[in-house]
Amino acid sequence: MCDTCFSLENEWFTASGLGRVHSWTVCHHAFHRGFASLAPYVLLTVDLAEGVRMVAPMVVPDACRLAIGLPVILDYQDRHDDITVPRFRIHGEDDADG
Amino acid sequence: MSTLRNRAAVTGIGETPYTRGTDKSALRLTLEASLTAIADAGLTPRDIDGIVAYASGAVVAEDLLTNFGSHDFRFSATTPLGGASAVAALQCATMAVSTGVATHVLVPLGRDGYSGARIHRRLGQMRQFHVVSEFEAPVGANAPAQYYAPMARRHMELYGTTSEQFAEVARTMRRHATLNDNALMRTPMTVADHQASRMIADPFRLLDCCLESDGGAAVVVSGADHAMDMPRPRVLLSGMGVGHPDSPSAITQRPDMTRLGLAKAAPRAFEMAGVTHADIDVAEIYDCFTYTVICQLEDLGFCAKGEGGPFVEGGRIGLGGVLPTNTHGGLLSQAHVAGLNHVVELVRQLRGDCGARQVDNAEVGLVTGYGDLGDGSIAIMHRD
Ligand SMILES: [Zn+2]
Repeated sequence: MCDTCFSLENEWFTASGLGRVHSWTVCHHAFHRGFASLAPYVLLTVDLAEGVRMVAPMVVPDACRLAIGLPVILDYQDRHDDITVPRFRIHGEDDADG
Repeated sequence: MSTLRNRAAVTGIGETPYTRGTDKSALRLTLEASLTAIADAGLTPRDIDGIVAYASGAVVAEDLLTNFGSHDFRFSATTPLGGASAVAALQCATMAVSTGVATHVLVPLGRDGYSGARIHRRLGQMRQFHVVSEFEAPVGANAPAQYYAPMARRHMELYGTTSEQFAEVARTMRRHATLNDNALMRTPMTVADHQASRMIADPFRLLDCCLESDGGAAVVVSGADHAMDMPRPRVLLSGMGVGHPDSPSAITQRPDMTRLGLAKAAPRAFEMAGVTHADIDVAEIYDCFTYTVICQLEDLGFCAKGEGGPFVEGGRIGLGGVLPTNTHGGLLSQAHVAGLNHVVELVRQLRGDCGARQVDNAEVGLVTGYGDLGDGSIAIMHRD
């Protein structure tokens, strides 16, 4: 439900994938064994252009380059045949796959 | 206008020894702490006619009633606010005893958080956390340290808060724990020790994170009039409040990540109690992470938003400082009983029973709770 007008109507649309860094953490300790081989990994909290926030890893885990407001863009990684995960890369950079 | 101010008192307190490793169940630990608190109040288990059980725990009121052999039980409730539950339960219990619905309400909490189900497993099963479970856990956010680290990071970026200021919180709690026989972590800690501890979820190092432990705590809340005739000095509940963050589906969705529900609850509680910040002699502040103490000091109004880092410097929150905080060692160095240990400690301070860690002339104090999604709770108490 919309928390402004309380409408129950909704529809799917394709988001731009553009956003800006709101905050982040560098996960050195994996609390789930599925992420152990990825640690340390950077989790970004991103303000999407469409107005919600989203959490996803950073393609190249380089926290030194992060700042609040840094533009990022979403892409996707096919991790297995049936699993695709969202990730963010710094906007305007064609990062090598992390 | 009617008010909850001074309508109820904490009349009994109890704690088990805290351990990391136990063969006792959460129910057994809850019963042991409850018996201690009930005896401290000069009551027997059958005098308890209300219970506010821990909503996130393994023990429900019915478990206690069965063991108490209760015949005239009148009030059962839960306050489902995660780590803010215990302090919110004081408000709930006060509402019950001040209206005559119940006479003596028990607030019990026992957990085998070290030996049994670990805390991050419990969180994953809470329905309030479904947004996190659906959207954030699959990309690698699987434990509280990873949920709260971005709050701390944003605070650092916006206000210049430093890891050394987090260290100041950790080492102060540890210093207090060294004065407490029932604290788990009693080896003194320096800022350098903190800075050398391994990184868990940047900016949180190991020594920024609270303990997981086994143990139980309980308090009895009675009507203020009844409390006049009970054995221990009256510790009156003078101001209480509960506050929720906007958009409480997940920490990430909050409009302002650096402001907790406590910011809404605190002004109401201070107004109800009729006291100012300068009146507070001792504070027990929910410390799941070092950062959450800094954030709550701001949300409580002891300093402006962003000034919590400098506030904790210079021994200000230590014994002998302007605002002695978590005099028992807190969740960081005493034990993790979801903050009911903070309630017990505040009552003990206001009774003057804290021995080596007693705050001189402690007359007015406050205790806070902080829940997993930013819920805040506060109780201000004073000795009669
Ligand atoms: Zn709308």
